[in-house]
Amino acid sequence: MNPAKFQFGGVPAVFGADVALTATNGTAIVDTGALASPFRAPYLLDEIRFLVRVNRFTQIAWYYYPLFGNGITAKLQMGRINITQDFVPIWLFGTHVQKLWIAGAGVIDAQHLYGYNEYRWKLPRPLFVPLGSAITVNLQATPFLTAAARVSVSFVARALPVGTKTPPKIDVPFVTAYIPDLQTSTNERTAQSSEKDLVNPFLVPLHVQRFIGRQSYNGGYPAGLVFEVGDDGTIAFVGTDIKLADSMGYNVTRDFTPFDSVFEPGRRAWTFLRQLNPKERYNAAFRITGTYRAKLNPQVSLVGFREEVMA
Amino acid sequence: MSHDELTRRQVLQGGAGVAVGGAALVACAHDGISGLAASGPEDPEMPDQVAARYTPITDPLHLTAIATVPSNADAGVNAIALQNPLGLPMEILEIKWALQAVGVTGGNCPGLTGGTIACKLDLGKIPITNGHVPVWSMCPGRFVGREIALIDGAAASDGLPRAACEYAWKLPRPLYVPAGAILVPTFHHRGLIQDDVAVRISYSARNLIAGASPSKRLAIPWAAAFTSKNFTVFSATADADGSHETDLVNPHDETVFLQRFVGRVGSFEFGTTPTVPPSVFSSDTLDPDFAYDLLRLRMRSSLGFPLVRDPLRFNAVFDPTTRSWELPGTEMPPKSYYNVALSSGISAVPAADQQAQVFIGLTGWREIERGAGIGGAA
Repeated sequence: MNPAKFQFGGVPAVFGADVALTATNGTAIVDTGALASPFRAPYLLDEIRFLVRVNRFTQIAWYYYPLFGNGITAKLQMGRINITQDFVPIWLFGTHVQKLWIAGAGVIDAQHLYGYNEYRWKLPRPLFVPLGSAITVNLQATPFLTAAARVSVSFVARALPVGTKTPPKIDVPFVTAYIPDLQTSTNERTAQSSEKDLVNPFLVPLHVQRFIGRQSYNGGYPAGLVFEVGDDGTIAFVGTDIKLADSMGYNVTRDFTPFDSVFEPGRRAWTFLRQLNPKERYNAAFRITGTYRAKLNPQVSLVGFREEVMA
Repeated sequence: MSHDELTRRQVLQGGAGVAVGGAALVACAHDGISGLAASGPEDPEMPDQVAARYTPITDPLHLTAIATVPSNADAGVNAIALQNPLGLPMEILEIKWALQAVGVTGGNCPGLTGGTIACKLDLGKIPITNGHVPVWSMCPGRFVGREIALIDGAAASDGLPRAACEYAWKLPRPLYVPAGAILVPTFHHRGLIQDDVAVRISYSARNLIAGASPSKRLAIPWAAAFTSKNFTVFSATADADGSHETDLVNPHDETVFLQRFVGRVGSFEFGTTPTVPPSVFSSDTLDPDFAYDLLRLRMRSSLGFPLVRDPLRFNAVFDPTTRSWELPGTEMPPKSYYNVALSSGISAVPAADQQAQVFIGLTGWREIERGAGIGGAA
């Protein structure tokens, strides 16, 4: 599909829906009808947004709020076409936008305090959604989400003229991630991704846009302290190193390299354009040492797009 | 030398090298209305934007003018300061505003934002804005929080640093300004604070070579806005408001190609007595519970298209950080408009001292024939 052809034009539209997600392993499916285009025409999907609100009952500091980004995972599909490889934490779709926001004391329903955050994924290429197709969004909470959440999922789209034919091939965004097991050990440790994690599982090339790397700090003093490393953390985080290689054995980072040196701390991303051939992958290895080794949980994702043949 | 033979570097260096500049000008003049402002990857998240197209360019140029606007009043600037001093035609790429409250100790007026001052821009008889448009309704956000910059106050009598609210509108297409012409701004203080406001407006531009013939069709930026009534943020009753057909409108005979919507919520917090001035007039994101939670929005076009079919939360429509909904090249037909319907929810803990006003802006550009009021004599 010619990217320039669909970069501009169309009738703009935003549509979406709210869904409630219970804490710790809750699941939910966003109303597919609400995520359908209001137009009887194909549309281009430019951006997917997740607005998250989590409620707590007492006045507490911001770092006591559950971490949303890795507390909520999403699986996106357009019919048979996968947009994500299984469930991917919503903070690994797009670059960093903002940190947690806390509302005033009980101003909305008198009983709850709310924390807010947003995660925005501007797709590497607009996704052509044929007439009649729907994108399903499945959400699943992880143990990081320790309070109920409301997730607002919205699609920023452009409706195409009625009668626009589906191209023989379309560009489909794709996200896959490597999520090491939740760490509880106090020992220094390593973690190694498998061939199923940062992989191009398709039979066509995957055009890689970027890596995204984020890590959380959880537990310890004060008790319950959970936040994303990089969000006003007062603790110097030295301890997570990452080593990346491709499946041909070539080093992407030659040595174990500090996490924040690989992923730009402001955007939590390493943007590059590279074609990953079918079944090729990257291997990520984490080495977590230092004083806070038992509290750090790094994650990394691979974002890109590939061509899909439309029957 | 044909256009195809020019490298990007040669084109960019057109002003520095005479041998290149003339050829570049002639060759690139056929490139239509696009330019650097149109093609720059404004959002680095989109590296696959359509490749740059080139226009005749020479040296960069920066023009600035200042006006002090009393509360609830209008003011203009010394327009000569915004005229190209070289007597050459130029292209304006970006318009920037810096607002500073006058007479406030330390200059840190908490109530000052881009919603305080509205700006009207005219190039001769050609309007760039739909009347006075709040400054921040033309500009996307760059980061969460008030968009302020601290200015060294060492020279001030109290020695305190000054804070200025700063906004920038990178034009969707460069605006061609003929030799001798001026893009004239006038300002309106919307009375949201009682202090006078010093407004500094700046144009980031580039010179064009004398005698350069502009494209046959010229791109004219366009900005329009809707400002709602005041909502009580934490209200015991639901409330609603909507825009009119004269707000987010394309009043022209040409299609407007949209750049983006900008959506912001300014909130007021009044003091305990009416005599106490607003203690806070914040940026939208400082009060997330209203825009994230209580405020919902629907939008449709005058042609009946449901742009936002269901009443979505305000921040689901406008990204809270950039405050924008990017519209790459969406066409807005002549004489059409967008209609916004706002509704606010109920708070269990009502409080009357905090109110909010919704600002929605629309920016884009249109094309006019050269000679239709601009560029004919160039």
